[in-house]
Amino acid sequence: MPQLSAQVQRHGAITTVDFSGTDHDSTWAIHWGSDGRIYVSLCSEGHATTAHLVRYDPKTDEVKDLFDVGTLANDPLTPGRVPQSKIHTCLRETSDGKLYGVTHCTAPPPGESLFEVVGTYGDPEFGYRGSYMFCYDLASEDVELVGLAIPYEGCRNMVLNEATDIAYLVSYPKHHFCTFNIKTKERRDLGRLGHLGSWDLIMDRDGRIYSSLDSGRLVRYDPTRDRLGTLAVSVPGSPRRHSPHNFLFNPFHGPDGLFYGTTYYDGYLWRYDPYDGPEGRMTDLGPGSGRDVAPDEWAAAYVQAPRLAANGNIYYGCSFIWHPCHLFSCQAQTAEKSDLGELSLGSAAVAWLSDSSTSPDGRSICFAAVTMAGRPGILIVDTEALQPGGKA
Amino acid sequence: MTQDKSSHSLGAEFQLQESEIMIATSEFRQRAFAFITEGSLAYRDLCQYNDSEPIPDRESAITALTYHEGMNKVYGATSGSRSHLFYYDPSPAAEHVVDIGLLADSPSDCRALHVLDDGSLVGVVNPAGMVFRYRPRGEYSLLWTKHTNEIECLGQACAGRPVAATVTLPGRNALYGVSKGSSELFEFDLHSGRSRELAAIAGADKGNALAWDREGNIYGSSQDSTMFCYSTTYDQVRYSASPIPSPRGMEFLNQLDSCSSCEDGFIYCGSTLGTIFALRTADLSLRPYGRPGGDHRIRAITRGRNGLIYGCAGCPGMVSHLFALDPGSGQVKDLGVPMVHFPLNWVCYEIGALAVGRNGEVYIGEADRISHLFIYYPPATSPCVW
Repeated sequence: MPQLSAQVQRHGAITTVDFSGTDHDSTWAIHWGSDGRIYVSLCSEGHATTAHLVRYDPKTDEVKDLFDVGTLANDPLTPGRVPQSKIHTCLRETSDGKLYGVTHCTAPPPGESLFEVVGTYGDPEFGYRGSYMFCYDLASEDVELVGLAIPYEGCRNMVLNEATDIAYLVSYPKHHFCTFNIKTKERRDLGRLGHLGSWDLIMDRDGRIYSSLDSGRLVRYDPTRDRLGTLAVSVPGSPRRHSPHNFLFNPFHGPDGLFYGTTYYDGYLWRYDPYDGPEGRMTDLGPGSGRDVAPDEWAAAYVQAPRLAANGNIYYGCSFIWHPCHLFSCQAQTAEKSDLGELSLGSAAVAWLSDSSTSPDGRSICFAAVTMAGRPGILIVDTEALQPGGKA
Repeated sequence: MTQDKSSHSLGAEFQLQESEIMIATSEFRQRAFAFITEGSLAYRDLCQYNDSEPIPDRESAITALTYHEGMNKVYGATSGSRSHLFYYDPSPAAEHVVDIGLLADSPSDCRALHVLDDGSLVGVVNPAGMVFRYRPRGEYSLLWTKHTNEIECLGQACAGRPVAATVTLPGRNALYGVSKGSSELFEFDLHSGRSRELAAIAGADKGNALAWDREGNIYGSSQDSTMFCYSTTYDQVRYSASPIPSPRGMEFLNQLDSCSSCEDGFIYCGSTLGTIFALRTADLSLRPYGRPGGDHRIRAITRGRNGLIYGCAGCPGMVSHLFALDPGSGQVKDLGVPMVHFPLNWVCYEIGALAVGRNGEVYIGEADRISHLFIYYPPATSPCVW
């Protein structure tokens, strides 16, 4: 990869960090570390590269290329083989200052234009080798290859239970619920969750793991019983919907201990209390765009990467199909939404926000972004600096 | 002579905006599409749509299917944390799956299901090798109601040991099989519930299937990958001269994984190393057809009504491909991975069983934590004649 450089620009409450000049076309995983620095994965979807983990220091604007996951996993770009092109919303920091992540795939092999993982599944030469876990020490800057977490498949999402050393993962393309012990390296496949609608996970304080089926019904894995069960509760969705294909998306822990998130396809925000009753209680916060899908629209707004700031607002991206992404806010208690304006990275309109993370003080939120120009970058929103009325 | 290009270029210059934007999608379909495109596919939840919940996840993996000519239904069994017996009724008044009942209330698997001459079904549930019988006469299901009969438990086939493979023979009220961990070929009398050893055939328990013919012969794989033929009439065992077609040097690991019915003197077989071959019953000669996929295992193989043999290739935990073999030409075609888009998007990554229905439709049993019954309709091969 060319020497990493970044163009940092400040536009009022928003700082953009543009990583153009690398071989990558998008950023996907982002984490605001306990050391105050932002860690982000430079990824590729359109052409063959291997993903890099890079770091941006918001205090000094310094950027650093930390490592190449392909090199780390001894899986460099190879003609015909699906590359280690991504780290997909899978960066998790532990209390001892270690940052764990797993690799993913979405880019075609070198010299090819097509990314294909079902036909090449398991092929010893051309198939994706699998999702490798790495561990980066924020203090020493040492990186370690932990092991192969999921053979033959990528990983869409991961949560890590420090108490048990177990990482929970969702595989791609088969969407299996898997575990990987970061100490013993033991792997387990606990079975399929769905077709598409089960790519995100979240854990409660008792170590129970939640995801959803394609229908949006929550599933919960209880490690004490080693049991994956389907709950009656579902994520909210459009009243116009008659078929089950709207599911849990981008869940996160609020500072109030509750789960928040959005839904894929209907773009509804929600809040979920896993301890209110035997199955928890789901609260519908309404469509993230502020309105339901209109009769002349063929898709609802795509609502992405929400995070709750210290000021009590949820900030997130909201895109209408083929239109640039807007930054929205939702007052968590009243569910009142505001359109804060269109997002761009330099001259490139943001297509969607792929992941987000809150600063340690809860004031700012950083977003990984996919732009319409295929330019990798991130945006940092200082929620206190947003103008009255919320405009960015 | 000028050619009228318009007749075959209609619409060539017309493109929807979405098609332009999604041009990569069409490139996928043309250049790298792993899914079945010849013929069409449907799927069914494992339930009676108006009247029941599907067979629960973790106990729905379909590992046995058989077509019942008299009932015009497909019967199946599942494996997992529990095992169920079910049927699919393709008649217009039904078009649904009915869960007949539990075969076992604990972790179990059922990979053997046979239709007897009297119309009843028999099978075996592991790990205890429990033999069961179900008599379907009188069962029915309509939109809001159903009636099924009791599943009879006939006893353990091999004193509690798991059973590797079973078969039934025409005119016999018995189940024949081999038990895992022994070389014993046994006969289980369905009337008395007693077993007796017929022969000791070394290595027979390593195979996953047995075949039969109308002369009362039982076929399977044995030590060193040879095929055996046991004659129930003469109480004799013969062996094939050559081993099951295998990658060189791996012959000793190759066993019979699945087999079709015997017609025209041939049984079509799949091996655990992923090769397919025909067994000629007259002289036990083997005709190899190669390896339809890059993976081990042919978990199911069945005879279509269009002259083709259908099978599924691929190990558990990997991706199963449906393939077709034309015995006449010897050509083998990888048809791809089953996928449906209605009523929801779903890819069948794991195939556990196959059966062919009255009209040539191929029933595909999905074997995953969440499983469905897929129906593959092969493409029409000749125009309709009125």
